[in-house]
Amino acid sequence: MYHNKTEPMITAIILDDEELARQITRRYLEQFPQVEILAECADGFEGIKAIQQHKPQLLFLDIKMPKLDGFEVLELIDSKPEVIFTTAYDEFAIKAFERNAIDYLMKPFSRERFAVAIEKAIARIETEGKIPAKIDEAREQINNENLNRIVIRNGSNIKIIPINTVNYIEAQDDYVMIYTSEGKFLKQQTMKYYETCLDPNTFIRVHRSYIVKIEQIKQIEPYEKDSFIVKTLTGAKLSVSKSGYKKLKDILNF
Amino acid sequence: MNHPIVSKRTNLFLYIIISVVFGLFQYILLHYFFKLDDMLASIDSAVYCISFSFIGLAIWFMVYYNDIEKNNIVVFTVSHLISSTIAVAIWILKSRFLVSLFIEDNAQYSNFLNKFLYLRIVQGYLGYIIAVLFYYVLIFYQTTIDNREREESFKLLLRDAELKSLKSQINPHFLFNSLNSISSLTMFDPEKAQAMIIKLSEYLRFSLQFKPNDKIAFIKEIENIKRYLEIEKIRFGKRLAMNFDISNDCNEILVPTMILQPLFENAIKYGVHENTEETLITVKALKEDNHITFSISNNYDPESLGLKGQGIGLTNIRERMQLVFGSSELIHIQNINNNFTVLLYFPDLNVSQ
Repeated sequence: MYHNKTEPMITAIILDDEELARQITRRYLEQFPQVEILAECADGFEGIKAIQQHKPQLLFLDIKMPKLDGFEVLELIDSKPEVIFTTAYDEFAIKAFERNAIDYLMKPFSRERFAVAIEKAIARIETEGKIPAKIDEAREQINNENLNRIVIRNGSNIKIIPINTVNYIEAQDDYVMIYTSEGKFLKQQTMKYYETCLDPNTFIRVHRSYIVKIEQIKQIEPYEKDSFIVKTLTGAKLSVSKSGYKKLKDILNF
Repeated sequence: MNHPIVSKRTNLFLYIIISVVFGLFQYILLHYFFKLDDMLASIDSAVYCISFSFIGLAIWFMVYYNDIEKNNIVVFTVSHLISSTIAVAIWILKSRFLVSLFIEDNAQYSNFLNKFLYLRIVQGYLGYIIAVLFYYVLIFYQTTIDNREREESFKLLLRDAELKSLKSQINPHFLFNSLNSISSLTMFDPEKAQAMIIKLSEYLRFSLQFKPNDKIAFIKEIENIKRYLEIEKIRFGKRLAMNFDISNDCNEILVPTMILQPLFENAIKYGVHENTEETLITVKALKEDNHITFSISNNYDPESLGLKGQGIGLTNIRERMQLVFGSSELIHIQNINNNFTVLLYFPDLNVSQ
């Protein structure tokens, strides 16, 4: 193959916890000298660090990894690389394409199949350049899966919050404040997202601004005229809307 | 069971036909044999047969509640005797009254009635016996059909269970990830790739050859587990370490096939998979009294939240142990200092039986 030296370089990072899996991607990429591998990482933390530092255009991403899974990595990075998923699991394909993935390669994949993905990536990167706000769009995507943890990045610090430690969530403009038994954490996400993705038998949205864990409710008391507040075990007082009150009534049977 | 005649149209139809045949038979007897005139014979046979067919419907309950398999033969016979007598008495009195509405003071007829009352009683008992037999035949027929259906659905269930156990024996993600490792090795280290293919084939052959209820020597099970871990070792490299300490006197004791597999899959899934550092799987087995005490333990990353799904695999093992050894006390779980340990006790079936 003959490649023009002036062809634009595409920068890439490979993120996969298995050395043998990274080897395949690396070997297949030898056919595409216009793709330059900036880093190879074996877990989510390392991956985020490398992506933040190198800001690659293309990311080869495994899904099941220690520490953080592939989707959590995408959630936590500031730059927006194009993503090619590489995984042995077929059940995440829809979610992957909802996150605007270029392609979804099922392990083991052939050289030919890999080439198709790379051609697509090159085409997208060359024609569109960078698509701004893609990950933000992705954040809005709502899946009907039950969340079991929330990941938060603060500078280079990554915090994993198990859902069972969350007491309640409060809306704060474009962010939400997550109150846990360990403290409170700010996260860029919508209330709508948590309302949909948290287990409705465990969490309940009592107000435009509040989602509370049902176990955390200590008492519900009237507050001014026609309105109520929830007192939590930790002593917080949360407003309850009319529809929120109805939901509380339904789920707690009073 | 619902009333077989009232609830099923074909049975009702059959019942009506039988009643009509009996009615016609009675008419012929009365008219040609007892020389009753046409009118008297028709009314008598119509009334007595229609009235008996209603009583016959009630006889079902006698058949249903007087089950010969539950009651002893004496109770069975006595209760049928009592109920048949009551049925015959009601039948005759009721029919007599009804006939009297149609036939007024007919010397020929009353003469016939009094003279042949004993025949009427015999007819009643015969009718009772026929009705009872009819119901027993229906019940027998229905149970045969039910049994056949149950057998079919049972077979289906069994096949389903076998398929499921087959699927659970070979975790597709394990298979595809192994194939991916092989795919990678073919480019860099063909000999290692070949070795892995052979290991994987051996593992698959072993896993597929057994049915869920089979038992094998403990050592065979351990050998297969080692094969499985060696395959995973190629995949995970430094992240997986293992240590086996199996006492030789455990070797020949029979255990259910693939019973250990889910424990090791859990150790890989929640230990190795979630950990960037080394996960050490320690396996011990020793013979104590008349059982093997087996333990597997692995360290895990406390931040991984992993242990969540462990339950299903462990529940399956507990159920199988219960099925094979009749005790649910043979599995114990410890979770101390980020070390997850499962203890299993395999009674030596040769000794305990």
